[in-house]
Amino acid sequence: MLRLTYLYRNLTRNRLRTGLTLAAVALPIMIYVLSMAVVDGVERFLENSAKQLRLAVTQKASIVNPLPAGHRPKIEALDPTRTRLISVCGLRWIGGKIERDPRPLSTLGVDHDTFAATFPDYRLTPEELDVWARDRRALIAGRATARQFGWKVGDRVTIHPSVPPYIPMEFNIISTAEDAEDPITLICRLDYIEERLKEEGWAQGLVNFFFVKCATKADVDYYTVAIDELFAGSTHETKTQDEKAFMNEFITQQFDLPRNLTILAGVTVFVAVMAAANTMSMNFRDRTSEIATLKSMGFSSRFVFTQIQAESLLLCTIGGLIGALGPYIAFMHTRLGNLTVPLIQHLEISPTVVLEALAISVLIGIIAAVWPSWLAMRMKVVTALRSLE
Amino acid sequence: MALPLSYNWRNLFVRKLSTGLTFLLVTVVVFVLAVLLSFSEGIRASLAATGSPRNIIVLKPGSTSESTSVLTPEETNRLVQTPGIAQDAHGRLMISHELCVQTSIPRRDAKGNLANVAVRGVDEVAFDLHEVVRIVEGRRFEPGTQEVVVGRAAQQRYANLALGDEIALGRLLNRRFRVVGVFEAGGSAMESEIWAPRTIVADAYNRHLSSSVVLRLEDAALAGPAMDYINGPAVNLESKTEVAYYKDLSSKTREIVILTTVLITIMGIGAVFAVANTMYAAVDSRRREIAMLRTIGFSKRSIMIAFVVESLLICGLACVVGLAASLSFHGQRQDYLSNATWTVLAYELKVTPRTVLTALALAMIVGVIGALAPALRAARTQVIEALRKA
Amino acid sequence: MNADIELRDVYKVYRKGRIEIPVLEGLNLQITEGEFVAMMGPSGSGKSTLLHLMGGLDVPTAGSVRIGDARLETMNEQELTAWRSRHVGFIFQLYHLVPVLTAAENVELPLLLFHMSASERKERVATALEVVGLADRMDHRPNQLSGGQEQRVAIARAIVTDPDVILADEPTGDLDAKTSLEILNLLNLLNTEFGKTILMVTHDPKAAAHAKRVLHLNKGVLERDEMNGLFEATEASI
Repeated sequence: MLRLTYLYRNLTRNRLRTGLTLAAVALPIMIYVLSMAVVDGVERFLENSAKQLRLAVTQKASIVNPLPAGHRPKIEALDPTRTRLISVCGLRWIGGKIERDPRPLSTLGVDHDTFAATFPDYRLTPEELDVWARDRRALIAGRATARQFGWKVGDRVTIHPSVPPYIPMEFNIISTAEDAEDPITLICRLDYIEERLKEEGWAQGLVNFFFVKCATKADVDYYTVAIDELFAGSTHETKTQDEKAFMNEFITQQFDLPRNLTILAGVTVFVAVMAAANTMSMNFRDRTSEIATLKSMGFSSRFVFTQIQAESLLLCTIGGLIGALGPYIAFMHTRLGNLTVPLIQHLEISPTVVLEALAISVLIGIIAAVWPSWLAMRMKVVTALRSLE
Repeated sequence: MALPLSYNWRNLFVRKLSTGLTFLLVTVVVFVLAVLLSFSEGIRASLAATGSPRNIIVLKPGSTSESTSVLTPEETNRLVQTPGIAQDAHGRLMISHELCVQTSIPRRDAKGNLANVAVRGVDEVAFDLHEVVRIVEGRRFEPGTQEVVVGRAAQQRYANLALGDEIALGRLLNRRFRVVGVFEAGGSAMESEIWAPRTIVADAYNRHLSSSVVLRLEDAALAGPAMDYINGPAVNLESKTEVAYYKDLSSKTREIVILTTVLITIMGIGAVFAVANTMYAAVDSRRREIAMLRTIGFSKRSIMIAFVVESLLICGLACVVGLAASLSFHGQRQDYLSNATWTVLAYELKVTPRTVLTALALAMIVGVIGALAPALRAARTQVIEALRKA
Repeated sequence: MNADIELRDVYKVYRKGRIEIPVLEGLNLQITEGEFVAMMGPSGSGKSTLLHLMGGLDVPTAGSVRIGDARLETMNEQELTAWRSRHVGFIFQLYHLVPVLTAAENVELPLLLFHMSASERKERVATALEVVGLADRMDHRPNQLSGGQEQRVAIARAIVTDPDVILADEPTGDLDAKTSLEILNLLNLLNTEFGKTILMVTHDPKAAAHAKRVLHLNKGVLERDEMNGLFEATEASI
């Protein structure tokens, strides 16, 4: 009990120093938590992609080059029974903006008949699917985008596509995809775009990519090769990869956030170590005589060692708690939780990240106390006492 | 009356470990700041350097960039009447039809991932019109041949783009083009591109419509009327000065800049606390010394200044070392996939004077704020009490 | 338990870089249980070193230090640490109390090294504080106590484990005359009433006068060893 009292009082002995150290440890831990939340978000996103057993088929030379819509029946013909290859959905990017608003949209036209089967992770209700099938101008608006623009189900919006047909198109919002993994993208029907392209005299029957839903992981592997073989040597060769690889290519090319943020998180942890080590070494300096006295009374080197370690551990763990739980609570209970970050759809601080941060805080505590506690252990009482005289 | 600098300097070495750790901490923070800034400076520099105020870029209304724009010949023909277009030495209007397509080329780093590199199909007029473009190795391509010139940044960042190399272009990657020249464009975004004869590119990609048209004006001052004309009913296309166009592209990187700023601010605040902690300890361990200095006549103000100077010495040195370390990144080639053009932009990490000044400002702010409260405590030291207490 | 002290041919040399500084040069000394011995001498005479050797804080370069059955020169760091906790109590010039602990907690500290129930510890702390006359200051922190009171707490801390020997290094060096006298009387009490062997380093002849025997050290050798004739006289003058 006295040991704990001593520990506690040691922490409150120099409240200012303890407070400053807590802040200097908590803030880097906060950076760690935020960075890891982003990294986590990307990983979650990719994991979901992998779970969906989908393939992305693009033009071989560049994802920007279009593919003919006619590829779809050819791919479907690979498995007429639909047991291994469940569905094929063509997608065409039209980007877009709304009138007098510089914010770019990310709108995709899709094959409406196979969309639900290919993207069950959009979790549309039967009612929504019903409207989707009937209304050519249906638009499924990602919930984050919908919130940003103040749209709700039933609204009519006009979008100016960034690509042909370039003319304003009217849509009816039929869903804000509350349970979709992707809260940003807007989904509309490709046949509506085709209709407009025809009216305006643009080339029709082109898509940017196909997404192919497979039944099993083995099928994913099989069709990754089979589809490319199907079109090999044709004028429209394809490049097929699983959805995770496809997405990952975008993510690593956009500043490779997962990698760079991990490095940054590592560096900030290093900063926290130095801040904590500084405090522990100052504490040691201030208490040299006290430690010498303890030793002269017969307290073992191990005792002083563990005492200093324990203090450092406690200090850093509290700092870690503040740094980790602060953002955790902020994201759970405030509007920050709705924050969207490019590519990673929404930022979420998982309990795992918080626990990780706490484990790191403990580690910081141990490392910070290594030098002072070692000094304390090795300290010769006589030398310490003499230096005071 | 101020205390001599050597007093501060020597005091730093009294508490070696503490000073060292604080120094290291600020160094790391400055280093991270400088590296993060060198990224955004690099991107900014490449986009900012691109445009000429005398050039006007014309796009399809609604399109967000050259790569999503398609112009019909009927539309481009209407541009000829635009007021103020400059003429070249042979009396021809300086109008450049440009065709933007892409190709996949592996990066030169260890992983060798494919990058979506922009290929610009241009006519000879483009070289005169884009004044920043200069061939620095080899020569221009011959019109109508399967030859290309490559930007310096692209050549450094992507594989197989050396003079004399052959690269595959075309929608099916089935046309071999020979690299006959390397160009620089003042570090601009165009240096990430490959330029090839327009008609051959159109053929290879089966795309015969231009993406954009660039007009050169006689004078930058004519940009306003020219754009009014183009945006108006006579032409009904979208036009921007090149400068504005690239500036808009760079705004897409704003999110990254915001993220960077948030992280660096949090780190900076953390550093303030760490410095304050150190300085408080320095003040506490020198109470008797401060009392002595006050006794022999140093003012409160000079005591305060002494501690602020001490903190600034640590932070200033840390700033120098942190910046020096960040220089090892200077000049490194990176690229990112622009979500406006879907092509990669290869840029050079840059430690600019702006970076240096920002880092210095951060270090000084951390140093001053971190030392202020402790210095105040030092100045308020009760002389008699401090002298009496052991 | 037998707690006489015997030092035989004790040498102590400190090394400072390449220079060797001899501090004790062949010292022989015998102290019987229950003595109150003062050690005097100019600074650098080796009196503190001698105290440290007898307290097992340091080991001699050559020679032997025996306290009761313990041969300190043969023991390693760990053994010395354990031995100290049972057999000696230290009193320092600057008290060295833990500032964040109360008087009672400070006194309780060394008892943590014993297997002892909390209630027994509490009892012992109370007794020790009563002996030094501070039973009413148990819950005060060191900074709420006067110098003399702090030293009394330090003394309580030194005796709470019931050691055989009490080693005091300038216990009155930082106190005024009146308080010094109180502390010295307290030490006397511990010596006479509780039979503790006490060794006290001091440079103050008045303090030394309280001891029954005074050792004069100079340059590492015992210069004089005298029984204190003034003892009765001083006591009588109080």
